[in-house]
This record gives sequence, structure tokens and C-alpha cells, in this order.
Amino acid sequence: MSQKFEDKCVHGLINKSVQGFLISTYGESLWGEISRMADVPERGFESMLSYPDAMTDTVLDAACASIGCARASLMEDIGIFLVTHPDLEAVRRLMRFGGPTFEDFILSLDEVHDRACLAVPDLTLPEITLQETSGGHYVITTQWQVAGAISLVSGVLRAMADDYGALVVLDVGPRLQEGGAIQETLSIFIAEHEFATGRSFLLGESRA
Amino acid sequence: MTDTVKLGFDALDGLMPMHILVDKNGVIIHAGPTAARLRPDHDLIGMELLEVFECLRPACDGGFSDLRRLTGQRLRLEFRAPPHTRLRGLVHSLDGGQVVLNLSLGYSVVEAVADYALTSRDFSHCDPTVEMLFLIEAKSAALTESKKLNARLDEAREAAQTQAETDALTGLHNRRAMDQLLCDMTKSRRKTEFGLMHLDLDYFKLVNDTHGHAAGDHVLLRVAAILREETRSDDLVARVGGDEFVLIFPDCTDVNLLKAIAARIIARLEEPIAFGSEQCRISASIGTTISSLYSNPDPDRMLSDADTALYKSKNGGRARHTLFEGVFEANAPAAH
Repeated sequence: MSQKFEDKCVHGLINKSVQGFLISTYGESLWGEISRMADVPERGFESMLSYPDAMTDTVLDAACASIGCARASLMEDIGIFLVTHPDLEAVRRLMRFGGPTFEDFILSLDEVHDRACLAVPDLTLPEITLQETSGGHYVITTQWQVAGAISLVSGVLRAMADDYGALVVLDVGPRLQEGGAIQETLSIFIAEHEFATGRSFLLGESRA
Repeated sequence: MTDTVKLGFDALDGLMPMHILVDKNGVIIHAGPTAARLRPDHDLIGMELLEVFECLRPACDGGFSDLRRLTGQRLRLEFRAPPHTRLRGLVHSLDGGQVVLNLSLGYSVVEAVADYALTSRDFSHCDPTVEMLFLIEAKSAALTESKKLNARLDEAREAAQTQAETDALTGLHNRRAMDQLLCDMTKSRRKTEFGLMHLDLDYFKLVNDTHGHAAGDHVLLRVAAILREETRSDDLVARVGGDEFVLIFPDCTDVNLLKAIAARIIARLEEPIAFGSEQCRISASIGTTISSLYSNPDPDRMLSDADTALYKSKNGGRARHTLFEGVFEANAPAAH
């Protein structure tokens, strides 16, 4: 399993998302500082190119150092940003294709990696495995070349729970490293499926 | 093994939510839940199937009796009333003369989900329509990103090209840009008449030697500004050597006008140029030729002729302009 992560690069879409999050949350000048520290190309990341893993790690480390936060909380914020920022409505919509209810969405998480590859073949999202432990309780494991994937997923899930109107309890577990791949776990408990009114999602309202 | 199984409406509805059941006379008696979302009830149940749909292919001119014979074939159907959604269809005759028609949205899927506000619950879990919609949206988002990348690459390519054709110090064009323009104007199908001036600064070496290279650069910038001011925006001003410039005037072969321009350029270049507390003084020698002198203008020949005229100006005492008249020989003694 670990072997296949070794020669992989981080896709520009992911790096560009990190860049987009940092600029929109902390401003251009902080991004300028971080990108210089991490040797990011002068014009920033291109979403349709790939970059070495180490560059993503360096950007995330530089961002944490500049902002003064832990990797986990940065990744969680990025996850929330991806789903909730109005400019990234396409991402929210693609997530909602996971299913009509939040539970369906959770059950579709182990397909996310393959679904993304179908759309953009060299996009390697975290690989997620899902295990139902008891009614409403799930444990997911992420495997990725960059540390913090589980916090990213946790941010996405938090925002998606709001989007569906569900009430969810998330708990990040310990991190294991195996070769190039980093394994992290998250326990999920869906406390209420219809806790609040979620946002609407119609198959046919995309204005792409 | 049995040859038949009993399927209730709930099983049919679950397995094929877009089916329509027709009695032996071709009248619709039941519609699956998704088929029912496409038309109001009264436009479906009790209606004749071929009143609701037109079978585009194969044509069913003989009405329902034709249609029931198309079991297993790929049908293309269209609603007769708007929205005229096109559908894929497949019919199968049942015992007792009933016919079941199963439908799918085919390529009208994007329009149809919008027109009828369909949701993922309207499609069977085995129907890849929702996955297809996902892919359409994901691919279009990816394509948008790719287009942005292409636009930026195009911009970068243009910037690189401009840079490759620009003299770094003065921002004027360089020899490459001059060669390209001369080639365009003489070789292309859109041949243009033009005037060509070769200008060499006088006393520039003296400025460099007495006031230093910074003063020299300052003077060159001033020269570039003057040459730009004294030419039209469509004219080309290129720095082709340390203190050598070529000026090209498209659509201008008026000798008197070119002489006047040259005289004005020389006069302005002779105005002292301040560098700190120093005053730098230069002038220019110019040689000019025009494309209308040649039956078949050739860039190298014209550059060489302009150069000949330029050296006549130099030999004539500098700070002057000479028009090439096609009479000097390469080794002709300087006439004064």
C-alpha cells in the first residue's frame, strides 16, 4: 500500500485550494511571505499541474508557522473553506452527489477517491476506508502522502453536516506512518439526521 | 427454473422507475414514479401512448400495432407536448397483450433533470445517471480550470515573445523584431511600401569615456524617448547595436517627409542631455532608403544601402542625413 504513494505528486487543485484558502482568509501579503518561504512558483500554483509532495508540506508548515496554529487546525479550516466558500460552490455540489442524506454521503466517502480520479485522472485525493461500528457510528481511515488528511476530511464533514442539516460528532484519532503513506482515523457519530434545515441541492441547478 | 415470475407494481416501480405500462389497446394504465414526474397524471394515465410520445426512430406510422413489434429494439421517443424531452426507450410485450415501455433520459439528461427538478431519489441505484451528472459537472469544472491555465500560458508566451523582441535597456524593439517586420513587409502577400533609416549616434563614445557608462545609458534612454516621440506608433524603432538604431516607416516613401523627420531627429538629439551636473552632447548620422526604389525590395539589400548612405553622412562630417540614391558604389570616395 505504501509503495504506490512514493512517486506521487500533489495535484495543483489541492495546492491551489490551500493557496486560495490562505489568500482569502489571511490576505495576499501573508500568502506572499509563505510562498517565498516554501519556494512556490512566483505566480502561485496552477490547478492543472502537479507539484512535489514536499512543496505542499513546506507550504503547510510555513502557513502554520506564520499563523501560529497546528497543522490539524489549519487542515480542518481548509476543509470547511472548500465546502462553504461561495466561489467553490462546484465543490459543494460535487460533494452533494454523494447522496440524498448525510448518512448516504458518509457511506459514499470510500468512493470519493475513485470518483475524483474519474473526473481528473491524476488527482489523488486521500484514500478513505469506512467502517460502520454500530448504528450511526462510523470510523474512517485516510491514507495520504501529506499529514493532516483526516483533519481536512473532518472539516469537510463538519461543513457537509451543516449543508445537509445533520448533527454530527467527530473525533480525530491517532496517526500512523507507514512508508510514504500516512494513516489517520476519525470516528463519526451521526447524532441527528435532520437537526436543522440544510441547504438545497438540485441535480439540475448547476451553473457551471 | 420457471419461465415466468410475478412482478408487482412496487417491484416494477423499484426496478424501473421510468417505465410505462400500456394495455393491449395502447392506452397507458400505469407509470413508474419517475416517469410520472415527467408529466402530470392526467396527461399520462388513460392517454394513448402514441398521443403522448412520438416514436422518432424507428418510425411507427402504423401506430401501436407497429410499436409492439419493436420489442428489444432501441427506440428514440419524444414528448409531443413541451418540454419535448427526447428519451431512449425499450418495449417488451407481456402476456395478455400489455406492453411495458422502459425509458431513459439519454443525452437529454442535463436538461431533463432541470426541467423536471429530478433528484437522485428519482433514479434507480443501479442507474448511472447520477454518476453521469456528477462527471459532467466535475469535468466541466476541470475544463474551466484547464482553460484558465491555457489563457495564462498564452499570456506568458506573448510576454516572452515581447521580451524576445525588446531591447532590455531602452525598451525599444531589437534586431529580431526589425528582421521580422522587414520580412513581413517584403516577403508576405501583404507587401507594404516603407522608408528605412539607419541611425548611428555621433560622439557617443566620448560620452561614455568622459562621463562613464551610467551617463551613456542615460543618454541612450533619452535617445530612445526622442526617437519614439518623433515617430508614429506604427513605425518601428529598433536598437540594433550599442549606438545604432534602425527606424522603419510603413506606408511612407515620401522623401521630403523622411528628410524632415531626419532633420528634426538630429536637431533634437543635439540638444544637451543633462546627467547630474554634467551636460552630454551627441548628434546623429542618418542614412535612408525607401522600398519604392527597388523592383523587388530585399531587407538585406535595403539595410546595406541605408548603411551606405549612413556612411556617406559620417564621411560628410557627421550630424547629417543622406538619402540613398542608388548611385554610390561601395568603394566610392566620399563626395563632399
